[in-house]
Amino acid sequence: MDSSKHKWPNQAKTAVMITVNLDAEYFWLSLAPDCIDRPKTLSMGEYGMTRGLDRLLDVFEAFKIKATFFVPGKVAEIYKSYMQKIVLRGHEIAHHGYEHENYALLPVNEQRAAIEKGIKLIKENCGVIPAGFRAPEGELTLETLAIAKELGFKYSSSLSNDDRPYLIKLNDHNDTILEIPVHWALFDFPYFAFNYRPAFPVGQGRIASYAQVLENWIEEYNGYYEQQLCYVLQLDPQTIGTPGRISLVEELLEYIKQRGSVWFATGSDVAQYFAVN
Amino acid sequence: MEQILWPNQAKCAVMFTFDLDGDTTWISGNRDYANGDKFIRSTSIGQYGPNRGVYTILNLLAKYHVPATFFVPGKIAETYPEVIRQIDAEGHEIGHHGYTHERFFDKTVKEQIEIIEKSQKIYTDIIGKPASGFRTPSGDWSVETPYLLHQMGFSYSSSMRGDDRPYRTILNEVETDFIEVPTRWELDDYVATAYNMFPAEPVGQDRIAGYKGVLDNFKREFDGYYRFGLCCVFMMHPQVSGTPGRSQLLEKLLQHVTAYQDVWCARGEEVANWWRTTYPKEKV
Repeated sequence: MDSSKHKWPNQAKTAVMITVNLDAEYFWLSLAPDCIDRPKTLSMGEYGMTRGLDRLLDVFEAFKIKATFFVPGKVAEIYKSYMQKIVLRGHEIAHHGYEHENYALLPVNEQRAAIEKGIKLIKENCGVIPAGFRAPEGELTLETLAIAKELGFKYSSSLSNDDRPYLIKLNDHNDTILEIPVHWALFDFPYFAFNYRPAFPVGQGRIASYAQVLENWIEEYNGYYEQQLCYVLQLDPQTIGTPGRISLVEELLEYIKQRGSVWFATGSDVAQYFAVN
Repeated sequence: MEQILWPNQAKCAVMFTFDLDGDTTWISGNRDYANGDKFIRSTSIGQYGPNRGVYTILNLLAKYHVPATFFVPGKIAETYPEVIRQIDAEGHEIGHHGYTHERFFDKTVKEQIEIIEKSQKIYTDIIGKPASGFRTPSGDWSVETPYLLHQMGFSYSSSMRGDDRPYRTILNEVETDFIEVPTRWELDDYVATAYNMFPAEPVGQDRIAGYKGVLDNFKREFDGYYRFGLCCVFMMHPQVSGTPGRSQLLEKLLQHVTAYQDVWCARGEEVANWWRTTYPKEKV
């Protein structure tokens, strides 16, 4: 693989893209449909929008960072007033499915219908046309990204086969879409989400030590910094937005700012930079 | 976000709650196995709570002058009435936690009413009064449960996960006097350190978490609740946090919390009453 170092705007050593996945209760509904009758389980998802989100927005405000919010269409519809707060603060709204469905399990026409419904609800409730697509946490197929391309998306942020943005080939006609890769290690949800029934994680594994998670994120950042890569953090306010975890974001951003030479970018900033350079 | 008012200008509220489940959860878990009703190892883990752990915890609460709330299945109250009397006599609150820690999600309305009434009678027989608070045992309650609890005169529940402050439960789209004081999995010692090999607990047999990290998580959460002025509801279990080593974690946590002069450590009933009188229903 190509080992030449990436160039970022303003001689920055790293591009840092802070992303937020607003799964809300659709994470749990997509995990187990009977959650519709489980008010306690659903309340964990609601917490993200009604409690965690404001704390996260305040942190971004304090650090003067514009983030990219990936939202399932249904969440944008149910939490319209919350979405407008995000838009008003100048963050980017991107697409995260319709009902947080598992794309790989759907026939192609249903994949397309779901993505279209998501776009429609984001337009109606946020007043913007999403440029970015991130498949929900289940699987996806190459067709999923080809549909995203056809429907006008400028980039995807769904895969993990690189640590720099790259053009992924979608078919034999040389159609491509910009992929801004993610990695599970840089996502708060796998470390912190928990429920007994329906079980998450499947084996009901422990909630990780907060201090160790922060260490992981900092270790990774150091690697991304040395190699001049694109650090994509994924946060979900239902897990990172608790009173005790929100400070992890503050501590991480403080660290990143102190190391310096960083370009904080939204998904569209990255896409635009790639289109030009 | 709007600053919450707490008594005596306290910065935040903290509830230390203890689910004294005894062996009820283990008995339910064993039910699916042949001969499960005769298992004695798994159940012994739970019995440690009312046999040993609860006394260690009561001593710590007395040492730090912290009032607490114990949610006790009726069956455990029946089996260990002297424990219930002692908890009550030491100024702590007894809350409702089912009869045998039933999963209310799986019960009909009629069954739910029977369970609630049966345990209320047991508490009344032992300490002269029924429980005013309820914590749903074993996962989710059913959609009807909060309606029943409200009708049956409960003051509050501490069952949901969707907030970090108390709130008035909305029933039939109207705010009621039935207060919810939510808690969170990250404030639960069982999630962090409960363990059994067979039947597996947790189901994937994850390792017991490092104690130092567990204490650090709890402290970080408390510090956040203090910073934002919220209501921190620790959900502990005497069978888990009452062991010789883990009770030291609890002691360190109690030291950390009580080092602040402006923290209100309260029982569930007090928090619910405070909320009801301080935050009236919104005018319709």
